[in-house]
Amino acid sequence: MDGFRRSSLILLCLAIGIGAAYAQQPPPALVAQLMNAAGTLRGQGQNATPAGPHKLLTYRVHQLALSQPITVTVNGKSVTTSTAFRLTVTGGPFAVRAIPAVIEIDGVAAGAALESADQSALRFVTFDPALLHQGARVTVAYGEVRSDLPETLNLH
Amino acid sequence: MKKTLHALLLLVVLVAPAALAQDPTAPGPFAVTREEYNFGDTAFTPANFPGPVELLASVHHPTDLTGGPFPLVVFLHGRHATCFNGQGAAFLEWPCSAGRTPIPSYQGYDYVGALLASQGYFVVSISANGVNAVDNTVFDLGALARAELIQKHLDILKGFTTSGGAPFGTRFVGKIDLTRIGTMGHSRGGEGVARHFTFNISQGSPYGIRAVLPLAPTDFNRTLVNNVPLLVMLPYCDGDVSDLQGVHFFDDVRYNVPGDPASKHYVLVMGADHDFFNTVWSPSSGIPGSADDWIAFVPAGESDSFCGKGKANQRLTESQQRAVSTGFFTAFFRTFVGGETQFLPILTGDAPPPPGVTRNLHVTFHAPDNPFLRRDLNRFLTTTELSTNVLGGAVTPNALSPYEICGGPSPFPPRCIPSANNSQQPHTTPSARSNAPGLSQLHSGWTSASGSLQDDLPPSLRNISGFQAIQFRVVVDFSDPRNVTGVPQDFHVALTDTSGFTASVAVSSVSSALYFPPGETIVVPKIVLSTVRIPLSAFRRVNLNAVKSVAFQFDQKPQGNVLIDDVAFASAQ
Repeated sequence: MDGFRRSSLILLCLAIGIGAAYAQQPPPALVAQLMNAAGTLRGQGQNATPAGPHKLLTYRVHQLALSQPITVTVNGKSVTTSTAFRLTVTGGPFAVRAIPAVIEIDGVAAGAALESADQSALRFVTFDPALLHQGARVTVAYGEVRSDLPETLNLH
Repeated sequence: MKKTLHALLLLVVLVAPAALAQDPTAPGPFAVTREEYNFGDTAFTPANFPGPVELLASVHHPTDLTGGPFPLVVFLHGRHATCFNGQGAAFLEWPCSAGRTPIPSYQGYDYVGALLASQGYFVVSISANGVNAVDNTVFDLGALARAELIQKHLDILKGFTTSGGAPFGTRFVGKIDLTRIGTMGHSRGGEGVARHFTFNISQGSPYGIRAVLPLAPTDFNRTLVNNVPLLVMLPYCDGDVSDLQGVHFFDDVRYNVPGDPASKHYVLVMGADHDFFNTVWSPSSGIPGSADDWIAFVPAGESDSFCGKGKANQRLTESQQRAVSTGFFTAFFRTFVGGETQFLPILTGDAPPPPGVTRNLHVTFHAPDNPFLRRDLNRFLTTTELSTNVLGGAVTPNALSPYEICGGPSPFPPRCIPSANNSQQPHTTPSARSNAPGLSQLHSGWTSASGSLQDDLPPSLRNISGFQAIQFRVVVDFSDPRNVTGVPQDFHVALTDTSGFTASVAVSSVSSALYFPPGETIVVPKIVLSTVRIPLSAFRRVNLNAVKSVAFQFDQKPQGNVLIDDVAFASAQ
């Protein structure tokens, strides 16, 4: 896919994402809490060689149990769920800056990530059970500058 | 001889406004006191925000308060690391863990706060580390939280100036004028002051916000800042907000509210980066987390011919960059908060920047929507305007290709240069939290000196003698090989009166806006429109009471391609 087509696709997905995101947002306090919450490890990578301009190393995927169900919009549909998923991408350091690190899954923007306290990881929470799927390609993007995680997601 | 005389007269006419501008950065008559107030790291929690925020700010004010109340300027820094330790590491957390110290980002504008205080202002710079720590987890990325934080501090200041309170006792009672306030926000703080302007209105406008200055701002949410003077500062070599998305603040409100009484401005600062405006974020501070963002965030950025570290690059040093912020902060706030109109020419580009400020910058100005101050000729908002302008006159292109509108809402193409990325096209860069379209512009190219674009004025609207200038925004399309890399473009602007007399002025004689956008690394070169303002007095012997047409005559270079917008007759005051 050439750069323009890729950008156009991302723009389209971003537009769809914005529309969907406005529909029903999870409570901010819940998202912030889930950034650090304990969960069940569903998969982790093994790469130890820094990759891309952001020196990505590897990833972890946690499944997080919510204390009570919430209703959120996922892919344009309202769903009630008791489960969230957290993707942690290590590497960096990920400097704290104005432009957020955007997590892309299979080339599509999924959302903004939050840096860990020591800036060695990015964390991203989703309520979409299908987003972080087996074999998914993960990219970290700050505007035009992208780094691809050198391994696809391997979940169990 | 006659031609020489005319040239000299033209030069005098064009240079004359420069002599009118005074220096807004000259220290004022007041001795200055710097103090702080601090109500604790967790003293405030914005609504629906997932973490506590500190209530901490610095205050610069005239030491002698007998002349008060003084107008107020509020500063808000942007997103940055929040804490550091003795081993040189920076952290993102709030409050800071034991053994770690808060990064004092709010102190990074003391250099201009002290100057404004010497000129008779209260200047309050707010700390927002608590917002930074978790704002990526909220949908608007912290814009509303920042707005609420500003409002909370204004409430605190209201207490100081009405009944007094710790830690200042009654010293500030009656000394802060909360009907005359200017706000400046940097980076996400820039979006914060924009959001605060609308938030204050939503609260019944308890505070008089007279001027809003977003500095290298984000604009994720496309907040519309109407009916207030606006100055957006855009650093060309911004390595963080590298798409210069803050230009949307200007673009979005030009024609948004009929009768909008406020002028709007932006300045593109060539060679400036994102961080150097804040001393704490700059490498010379030695504080962990500081950086030259161009070098830190743009891969191979150090080798860029314009923004990089080479011997011939055009980067500004930290002090050079702060001279720019000092110059434009003081000019802007003294004009629109202080009411000192002598600095307005700096903000319209009619006068050069203040002494000590780089001349390699481009000022853009949009006059208030007042029939005595602005008469739009062509906005290029719709396809209709390719053939009939706003005034109802004919629009006649000759030998132009392309001749099309790009960048606006559908059906126009969302971007003007398909081969360039978003960061290279700030006017059309998409927004993270809004579907608002980009700026519609005229894309216009020529391959012979006969290329031209003429706008006719209908008979009832041919008297333009009450305006100062004809102006438009323009930028060279770096992607078209008809423009020679590194070489400025040029063309003539011609006015013709009803007697058939025509006078023309070369753009290069009044403006550097037709520069070839420099750089070659990922996010540069960029296309950022800049205003060309040609004094109507420069069109010698044209009867300004009866002008029947305005023409762009692309006769100075054999070929080229430019983007054009916002053609108007305009005055600053």
